[in-house]
Amino acid sequence: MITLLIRIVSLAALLYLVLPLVVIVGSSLTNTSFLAFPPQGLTLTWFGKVITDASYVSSFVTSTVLAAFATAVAILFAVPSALAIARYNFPGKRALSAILMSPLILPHVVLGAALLQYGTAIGLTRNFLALLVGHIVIITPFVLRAVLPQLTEEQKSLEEASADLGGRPVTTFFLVTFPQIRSGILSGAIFAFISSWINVELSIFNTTAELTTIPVKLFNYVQYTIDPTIAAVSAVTILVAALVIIILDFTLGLDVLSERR
Amino acid sequence: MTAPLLNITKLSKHFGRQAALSDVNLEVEQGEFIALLGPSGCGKTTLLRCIAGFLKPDSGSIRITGEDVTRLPPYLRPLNTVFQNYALFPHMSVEDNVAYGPRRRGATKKDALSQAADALELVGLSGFAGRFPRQLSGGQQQRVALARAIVNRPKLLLLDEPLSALDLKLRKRVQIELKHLQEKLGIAFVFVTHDQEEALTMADRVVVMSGGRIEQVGRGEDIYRAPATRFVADFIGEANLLPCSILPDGSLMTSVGALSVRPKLRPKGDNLVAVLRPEQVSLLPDGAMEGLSTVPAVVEDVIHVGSHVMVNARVGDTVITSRVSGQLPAQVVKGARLHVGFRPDDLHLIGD
Amino acid sequence: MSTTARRVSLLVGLPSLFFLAFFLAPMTVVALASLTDASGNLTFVNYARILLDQYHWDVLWVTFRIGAITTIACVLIGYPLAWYLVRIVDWRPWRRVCVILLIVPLFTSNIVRSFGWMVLLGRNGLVNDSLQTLGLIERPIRFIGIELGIVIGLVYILLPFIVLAVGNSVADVDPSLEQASADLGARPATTFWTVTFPLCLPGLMAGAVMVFMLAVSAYVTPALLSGGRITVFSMLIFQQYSSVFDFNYGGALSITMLVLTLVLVATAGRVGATKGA
Repeated sequence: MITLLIRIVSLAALLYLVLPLVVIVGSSLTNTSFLAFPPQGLTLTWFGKVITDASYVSSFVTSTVLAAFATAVAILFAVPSALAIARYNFPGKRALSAILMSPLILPHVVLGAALLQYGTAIGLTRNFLALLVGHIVIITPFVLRAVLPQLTEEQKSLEEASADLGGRPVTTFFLVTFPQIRSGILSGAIFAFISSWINVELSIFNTTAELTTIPVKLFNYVQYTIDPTIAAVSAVTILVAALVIIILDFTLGLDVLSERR
Repeated sequence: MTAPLLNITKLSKHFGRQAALSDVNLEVEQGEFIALLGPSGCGKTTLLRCIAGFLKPDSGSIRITGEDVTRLPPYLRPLNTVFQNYALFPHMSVEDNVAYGPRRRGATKKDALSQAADALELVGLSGFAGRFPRQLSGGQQQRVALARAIVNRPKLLLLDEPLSALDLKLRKRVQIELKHLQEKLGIAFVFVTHDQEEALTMADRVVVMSGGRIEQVGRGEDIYRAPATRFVADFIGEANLLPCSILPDGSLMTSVGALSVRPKLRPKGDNLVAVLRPEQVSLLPDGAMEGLSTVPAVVEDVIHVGSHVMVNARVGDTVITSRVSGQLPAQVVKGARLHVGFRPDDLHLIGD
Repeated sequence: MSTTARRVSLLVGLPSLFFLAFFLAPMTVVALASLTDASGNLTFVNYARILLDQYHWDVLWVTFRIGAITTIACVLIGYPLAWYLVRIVDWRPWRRVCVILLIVPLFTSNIVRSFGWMVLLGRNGLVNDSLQTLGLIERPIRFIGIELGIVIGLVYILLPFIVLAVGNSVADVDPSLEQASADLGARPATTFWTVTFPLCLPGLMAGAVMVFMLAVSAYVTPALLSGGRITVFSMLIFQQYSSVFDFNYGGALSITMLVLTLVLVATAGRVGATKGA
């Protein structure tokens, strides 16, 4: 009886989770000039319009390049920091890890505003570098959070074994440590990349008409008009996300909710 | 005739295609201490979980004092369990853990706590009522688990390798305490273990299991002296297993030669095995000895094990192990030629 | 310099400098600006402007009310869903599909997801159409521009967080604890309330805190689904920085929001820690 109730609530909740996405993808296929769901007839016209529109294409490129750079730097920051935090005792260690993790709980609007004000003072606003700096700050914790738990005590003894066998620290890292934390780096990097790719709250302070990311462009557009072009752009981002997740599921395995029996 | 406390008939359980229990029959009397003994994967834990109600058997029945409980959920069965990992509720204090059972049986909070205090006193943990499980040592947690399981005074207590997480010294002490407690309370224990010494010292009867089947049920010394199957002989203690057959004249032909013994018991089958315990094998540097069958042998290894010495001696293709307590004769060194001897009556024959 | 000190500074030197320059320094600048006036003199006037003005309290009240309702709704929907995924679904492929359905929204921009609801909740959207077809309402309900619309959008965006947090803690419950409870005579409902639920409470609290924090600091979803009729606190901050350019007052707004959320999170964390002991 209770189980039945839970099933009903859950299936309704799952429906609730997919419905908006289905509506967007569906209405991007309509052949009317206004948004309609269910779509009236099927056409790929709107997708065609998007890929021939240079401003959309350049926003997609900006978003992707920005996310890629930010993720690369985040990995270069987070992995050494994780090693230091997990393997050494040094003054200020707690403070350092608190600072590196705090962007996770900080409202992005607050951080974006702070970076804008600070950037104005030092002359770093409304350009790619200004965007990049902010994105690095918010996504580094994702990688750190994914890598830290993998640097366990058991693993430490593997590193000691490697040192014992004559491995210098750098050799030990690449031959022993890195293979153990590779999956953590990968999953952290994916979350980091996506978080950067979909960010609005932070980017919006530093974008211009020429330099804008795809979510910010959508945001500015959606506030004034809604049309099937917007649905098509959104549909592209949904399909990309779905594709990434399905690839993740088949490579890393996303069955995070199985009972550990 | 009254019904036995626990009566298990033709119990079978499969996991996928794997048979975890096949055709298990067992009776347990009031106040009896039963050990389920076997290597891992033999089905002993599966059997225990079926009795507790955590697993539903595929077929067969489980009766407790005559009442069929096979389909009853765990919370309606008149028994309690001590879990291997203790399964203490981490978010409750020791006394709340122990009072949990009485509360579920409708006792008031006050009554439940006073029953819990009694149970804790019984296991010697009176001062620990307010602590949380994570603040206790492994041995103390084990006692809390025991107190929690006996507080309801069940007629039957199931224990799933409750001592396996304790270190050797503590384990020996707890074995004795547990046995005393069981006798004092008069509760029947069904105790799962893979440690044969534990089973033999504690249990009134030992149930040896292998591959989901019961191999033998009996008192510890009977199982040791007269193993019913080759598996039991090999699993319980150390044994020299000599393949043998009975000649037409009634005498015995073994892998170490013909023996002029006429076994009293003649098991069925052609491929017989003679079981000879190492302590039943004497080393004879000077040759024959009155009343013993002897065969010439060469010493292969001499292994000192503290209180005694194990000597492996080769007879043809067979290695016979002898256990020597006390002084080892000076002649017994690696490579020495001597005789091994045993009393023909000590040979125990097992059929197929 | 010892080997350890040299290695540590090699490892964390660059990240520390970067976070000092582009995280701590900006936040300090904001904090300082909030305490100064346009000509740089120390003052509390910016905070006085916020705290003494009923309008700001109204906005805060709306923001936190939306946050609280969103959190409660997320818990009420998310807990059963998490339970369903961990304990009820026994066909692995279906669970895989469910987890994918749960994570795809997480990987999609808030903007796209809110846009979906703008379409669904519009005057001629699917929700109004269905309700009318079913005869439940006569005229379309205006969802965009009322709190319910914002809550629907926020719950939608934040639900996966709580499902993952609760689901993980349900999956982590040692099954032998529930068996022990049953063994001691507890019926399934009793076992749930006395054993399983308390053990999952820290996970539930962590998820709820996260949802609440993200809900009160959300900007995009309320901005799109408010239809310009409802103001939440993050919008005030955004206005100051994007159109009014009063960094001192904006800074005070930022710091107010930061302090309020951190205090609430810390309190909730403490409650969770004692309850979960």
